[in-house]
Amino acid sequence: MEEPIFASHQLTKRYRDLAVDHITLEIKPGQIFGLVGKNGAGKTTLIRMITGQTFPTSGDFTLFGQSGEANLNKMRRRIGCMVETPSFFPYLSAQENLEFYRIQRGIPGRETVNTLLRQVGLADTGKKKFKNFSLGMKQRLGLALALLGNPDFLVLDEPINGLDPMGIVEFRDVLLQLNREHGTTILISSHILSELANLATDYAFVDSGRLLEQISAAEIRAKCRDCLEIAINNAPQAAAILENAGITDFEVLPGSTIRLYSHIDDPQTISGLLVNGGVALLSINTHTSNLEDYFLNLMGGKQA
Amino acid sequence: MTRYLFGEMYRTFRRRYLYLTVGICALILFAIMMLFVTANRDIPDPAQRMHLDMLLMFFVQFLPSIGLYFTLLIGDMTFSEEHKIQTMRNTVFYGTPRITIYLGKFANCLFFYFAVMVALLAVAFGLGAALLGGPGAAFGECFREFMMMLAGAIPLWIAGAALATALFCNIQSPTMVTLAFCGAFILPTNFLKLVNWLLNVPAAARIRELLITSRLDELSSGAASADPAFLATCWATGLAFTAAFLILGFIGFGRKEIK
Repeated sequence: MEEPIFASHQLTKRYRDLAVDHITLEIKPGQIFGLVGKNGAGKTTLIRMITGQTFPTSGDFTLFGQSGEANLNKMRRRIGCMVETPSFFPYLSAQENLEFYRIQRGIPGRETVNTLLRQVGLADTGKKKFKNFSLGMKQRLGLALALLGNPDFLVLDEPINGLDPMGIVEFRDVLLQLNREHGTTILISSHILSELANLATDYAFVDSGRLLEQISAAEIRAKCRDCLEIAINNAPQAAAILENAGITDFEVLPGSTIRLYSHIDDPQTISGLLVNGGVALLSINTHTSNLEDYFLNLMGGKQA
Repeated sequence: MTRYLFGEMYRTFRRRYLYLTVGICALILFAIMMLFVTANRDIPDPAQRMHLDMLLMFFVQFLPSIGLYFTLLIGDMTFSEEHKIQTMRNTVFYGTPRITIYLGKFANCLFFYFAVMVALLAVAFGLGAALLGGPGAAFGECFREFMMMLAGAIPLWIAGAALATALFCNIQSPTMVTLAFCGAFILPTNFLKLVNWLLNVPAAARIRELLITSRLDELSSGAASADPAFLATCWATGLAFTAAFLILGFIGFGRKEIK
């Protein structure tokens, strides 16, 4: 069995309240793992524990199969991080900031810095100081630092905040390229669920510090398939009618609602079948749902 | 640790703060030297004028205390407001152990402290030689006294740098660090003085003698040249306080949440 890149067991962090509440989670090699939750759900605290910024109150976790503070620190050398708004020394240029961290981390080759700056589109910033950078430029430099040292695991917390649409596309392309060509595992938390849907292969949904669900993107896609949502007065009778007509790709939801995943372009036939079978048809709509709907449903309809 | 220190040095050498500090201090030294030159104009006898000897005695008197508070300035310069601008997390992300960060900061502070100190003393003596003329009759004796003061003050300044590192690593606001640093040196000595004066407690006076500020005061009055054994007490005090400040600082920093 392939060893997880990150695995937590009952991981808990308490400040005044529980910020992370007994989370047990696994991220496997090659996954692009979307961490989804409202503000204050515990995403950043979880990431801070992974990155070593803070320590768990109880529970534990492994990185590349290793645990214990000294081993975790060694394994963190294989991780690239970008947590919230990137921070750099305001009086240094992009090149100087990266060179500082290259020296500090003992990464060989001065050319590494220029290659990274080209990769994130900051090659021509010259002597411009970090304090004069736009938010988008700061995000790009943050990504460059995260990529310094060719990490096996990228941890990104809200990485596309402040990027323009073009920047978001470029950012996504860089991540997908890293994942496909180098097998880089990525943990990414973002509020922009539509963007996350373009990237993630797996998701964890958290709320109030608790893990609500860990699910693959394929499973979500299956659950979010386009369908006909039919409201009737008698669901068992309607289900029997559909089965007698040889239609089986449907599910019965609470509240006398049926979701039918076939005949989406042919609602007249379905309504005819049901009405002729003696079922009162209250409404019939084409229903499309996405990650956002899935998340909101999971949260019980609360706004993210 | 070496890599961390090289990184810190790379960054500190690129701070304008470093060059402004050296420049402003050099200007202050120049101003002091001009005061000496102006005073010399009113002294007709060249033998009575202020020479390099006088400059050395000036340093023996004032450098011990100035040197202690100068560690705070260098600590601020080398720490580079890492909590405020939230750059320390970039180092933590990479798995750099907290102890490496902490001792690296301390080593970087010491390196720049002594580098700046040597540069400023070179400026002072260069200006002194140019503006006040060569050594006077008492130069040999003054130079010995100056070197003895230096030998005693160095471990006490190192303790100052240790406190500055401990405070900067644990307290986010530089203003609070400044207050805590000054308070740590000013309050205990005055409190013990007051206790001894009001309650006549000899132990308070004995404890006060062990403090860094008391040792520096004694160095200012030439205690080291009068009694070379006094240097040993300076080193013992300096090393004990350095260890204490570093350990106490790391107890906080080792588990501190880095934002």
